[in-house]
Amino acid sequence: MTSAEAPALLVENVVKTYRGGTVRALDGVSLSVERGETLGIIGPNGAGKTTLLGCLLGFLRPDSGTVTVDGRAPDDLAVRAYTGYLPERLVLDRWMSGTEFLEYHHALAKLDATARKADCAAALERVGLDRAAGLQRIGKYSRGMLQRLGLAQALLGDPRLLFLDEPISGVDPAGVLLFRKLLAEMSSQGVTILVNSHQLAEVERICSRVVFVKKGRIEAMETVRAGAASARVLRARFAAHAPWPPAREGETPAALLARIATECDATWLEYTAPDARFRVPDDAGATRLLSALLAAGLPLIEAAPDEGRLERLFAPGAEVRS
Amino acid sequence: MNPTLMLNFTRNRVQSPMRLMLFFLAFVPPIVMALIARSLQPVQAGSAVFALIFTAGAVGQDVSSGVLQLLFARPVGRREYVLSRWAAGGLIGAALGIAQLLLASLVVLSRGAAPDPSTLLRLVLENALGGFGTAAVMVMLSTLVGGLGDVALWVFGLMSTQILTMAAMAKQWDWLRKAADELRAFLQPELPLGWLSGMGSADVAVILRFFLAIALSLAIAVTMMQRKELSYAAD
Repeated sequence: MTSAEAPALLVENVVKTYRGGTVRALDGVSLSVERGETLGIIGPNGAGKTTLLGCLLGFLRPDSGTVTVDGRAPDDLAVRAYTGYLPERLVLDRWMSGTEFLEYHHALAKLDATARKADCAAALERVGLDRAAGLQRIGKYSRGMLQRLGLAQALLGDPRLLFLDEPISGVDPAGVLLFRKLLAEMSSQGVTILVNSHQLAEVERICSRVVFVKKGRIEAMETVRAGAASARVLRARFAAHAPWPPAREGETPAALLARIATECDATWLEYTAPDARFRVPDDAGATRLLSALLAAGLPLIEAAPDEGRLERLFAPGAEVRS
Repeated sequence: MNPTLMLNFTRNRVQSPMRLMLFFLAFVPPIVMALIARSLQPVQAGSAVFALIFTAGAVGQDVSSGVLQLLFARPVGRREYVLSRWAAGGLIGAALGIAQLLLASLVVLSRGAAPDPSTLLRLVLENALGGFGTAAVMVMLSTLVGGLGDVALWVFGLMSTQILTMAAMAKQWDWLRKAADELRAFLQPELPLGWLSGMGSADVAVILRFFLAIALSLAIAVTMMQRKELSYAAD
């Protein structure tokens, strides 16, 4: 497979242990990320998310299994030339100014030296830091400013691959909006983005797909932001006190919803009054389902893509559907 | 070798008040002593001391602080990183050692005792080489332990050679004395160049030992660095 044909990231049956094999951080993880995809990695603390990111960045060597980036080893310097990375624990040289820090990373990235000043000024501006902030010593930066500076260095050289570990941790609401806008821009430019975060709402907004990691395994993989031709989950809400049409003998509301869904190629997932969740194959499937629900006389008052479902993955005893 | 890494390392080193204080203590008093003694004797091995001060923790501090993750996400090879640390540490040591030597020469000259030019040239060369030798050993030790543990390791190594030498003398074990000498020479690589100014002839074994110590130190450092895993998840 040539690097042009290979997925942006390919993880095959990766096992990674610590402390002489007593701690199994990754236990047979397999994952493929397409070019231009924005993938979220979520999971409880100690689930193996950071280890997975470490393997993808080539910082950690799997005990077994393989990791490739564009068909190459993750620590290949050619890969790193177009990789941007924002670590969770941002440790910077506190004696440098923000601008000096960016210039240092611009040089390490072996970018065009003649454009260094302009590139770094533009990067600062892009993350909402002004010239004065750039001249300030990093030691005097607030947590939010540090995070913005970290993102600015990750975006230097317009990377094709972006790894973000808890990118909005400690960032104020304006910063969150800015991060969201920047990531949307990068995504629209075809950049492959990996986001490791505990901010589920943000992951849901930013990512097109999310993997849920637990105890070193990928427990679930959900498509969050689907295209017109993609399957997705729809949440339908019914008026709480409005009467439902007469059902067939012995048919519960859940059974009624399941029957209607089956008749229009959708899948009923659950019903907890007043909400029901369905899986639909595509946009047309969603239209068919909603039309069928209305045609059946059900008091449908709202339908929307199912948001907030990532939280359910964390619920004790959650039943995970992939 | 990466000039960006070398420059950043140099700038980073001079930010430490502790290092600057140690540098002052290692720089000024020997010049005063040279002034009093009207001799360059007190400033002969300055570069090794400066290399020790400025190269200590060269890798270990980066590992402990966590800056390597960000660094190695860039197209920077680990060998390139290690060699840049060594080159920068060696250059700092050599430059400061030579500066101290030249300053001491001026001081001695002002007291009417002109140093012999060939001796001065020899000392300059020995200082330059000594700085790179010590930097190589410190970078190697720094890949083995975190923080400033390399200094402790270095001191422990030298103390061990003393103990081994004493044990060898007590037991009259010549092989142990030689082993202790080799270990000491490895930890304190220096290349006497007296033969350049007509003092005896060149000893090929000594020359080889010096360069082998540097090569071995750097080979160990690069190997250790290549094997190192970088993630706080691995802690």
